[in-house]
Amino acid sequence: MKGLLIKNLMCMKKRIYVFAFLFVGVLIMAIMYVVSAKYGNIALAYQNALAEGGEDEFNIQALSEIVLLVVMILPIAELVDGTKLFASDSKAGFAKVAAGMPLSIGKRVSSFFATTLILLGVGIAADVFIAFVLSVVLADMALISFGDFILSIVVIACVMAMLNALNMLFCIILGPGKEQKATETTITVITIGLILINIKKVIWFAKNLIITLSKGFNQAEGPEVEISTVFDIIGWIKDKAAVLLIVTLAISVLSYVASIFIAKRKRGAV
Amino acid sequence: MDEIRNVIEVKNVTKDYGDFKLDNISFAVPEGSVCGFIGQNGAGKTTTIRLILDVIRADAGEVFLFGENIKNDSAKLREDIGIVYDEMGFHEFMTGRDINIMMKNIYKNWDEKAFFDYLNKFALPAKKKCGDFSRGMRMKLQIAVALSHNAKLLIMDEPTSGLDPIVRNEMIQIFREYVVEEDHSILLSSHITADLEKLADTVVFINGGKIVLAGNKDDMLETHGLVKCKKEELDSISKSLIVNVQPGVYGCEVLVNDRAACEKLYPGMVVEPANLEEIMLFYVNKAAEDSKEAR
Repeated sequence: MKGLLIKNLMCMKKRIYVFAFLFVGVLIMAIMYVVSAKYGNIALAYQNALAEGGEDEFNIQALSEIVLLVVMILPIAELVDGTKLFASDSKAGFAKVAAGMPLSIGKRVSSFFATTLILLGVGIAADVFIAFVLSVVLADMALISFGDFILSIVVIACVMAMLNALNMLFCIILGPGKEQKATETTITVITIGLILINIKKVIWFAKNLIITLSKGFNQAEGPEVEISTVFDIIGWIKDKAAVLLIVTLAISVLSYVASIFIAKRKRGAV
Repeated sequence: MDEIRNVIEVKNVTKDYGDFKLDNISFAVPEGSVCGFIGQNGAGKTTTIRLILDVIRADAGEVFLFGENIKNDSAKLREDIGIVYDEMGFHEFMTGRDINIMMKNIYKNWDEKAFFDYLNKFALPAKKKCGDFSRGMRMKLQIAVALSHNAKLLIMDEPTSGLDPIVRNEMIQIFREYVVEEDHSILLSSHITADLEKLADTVVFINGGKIVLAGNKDDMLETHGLVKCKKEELDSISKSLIVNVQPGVYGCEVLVNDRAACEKLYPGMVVEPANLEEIMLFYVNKAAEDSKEAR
């Protein structure tokens, strides 16, 4: 299996280079943002917003957290994408070469999961380094504590790992050359899953939206649906991280077992 | 006397895809021999090879490699098999060096020195991306890989198709050198019969998913003959000798399955030796006529 891992990493070589650039870019941007939020133009903009009463302290802090965390998704997102491995193999017709190798189907499927796991580890390490710089090295300017950063990285990694596990399962179900469809299926499944989990909220939102639209936005009473504050992302992460981690582990294990089972039944797919 | 060991044994194998069926096929490849697997495109050669390699599973029947049923541990058995396909299958960004790094971590018996020696011998630059190789170079790269892990059996699916005659000859020479070792065997699938005539010891001829002819190549060439005669002479030839009749320029051509008997029975007729291509064409046409009649 080591040979296939090496091959997979070779396939991801270009993305690893892009990741390296992204890592440096994200680090520099994040430092610049933190410094600016403390002493520069961003700090000034926030002060003006507070003075004019447009935003409150909570919103300013929450906005800063969202900006930093969104930026930190990039390095992991660039690396953890198993569909690229499948696409690369499909293009080369590598499945038939692999089928002639002294490797079982289980090992061949495992090599895809193991590669993305290694790359996920690299992505996490990069984000932890950025978090360390932003919260420990620049402690006096820190917008988010190191502990909160680590929790946030866990959540980012969970989301990416879950997406990746489903992507790879659908790549095997749909077969070679259908990687784009696999990604679309994953997004559809996750969207349906999120709607079902939050069905009460979705119905409430839809109902209010219909009322708002029927009354019209320009009515004196204003819209029924409004966003009162910026989303408290760190609060949400603290609340949901453990659940998300368990769900991710369950989905990843299920996806791995199902992928091997389906690949053995389909034969010749990997 | 030592019993001849078969490196490949296909026993009563059936695989039904609905629109195509591999119908109860059986054949064997003895150790130390070159077996030519002939058939037109779509005859079932690749399906049979995929079954042998356990890429697909048969609906019925059994496949043995080196005397072991592939259902037991096909992955382990593939350690001793080198495979060459009609298309390369390696990623185009890979160089010979990259392939070496990958393969030495896959095959237990990978011989790094042998691989680079083959690259040199075949004039394949180790640092050049294989996507930039010509078709001939790509085939040679596959052969270099197949020969660099001390494989006892080479399975090749149309390795010479689309190659110019010079490269084809070079490849046949490489295969000849490979089978000099007594325990080395080859299963060579091809529809280019001229290559097989030069190389094969035994021939298995598949058509429409059925084995129509199998046996020693020299015996096959020796026994079959081509009679060129007028249409009115055709009735005088015993039906049991005739494989099939094709219209010719001055009458008709008849493939007979016993040249010696034909020469003896009909001394006035000219019976010429038939080559593998002619034998294949006559059998294919016979099968087509038979299936037409059956309908």
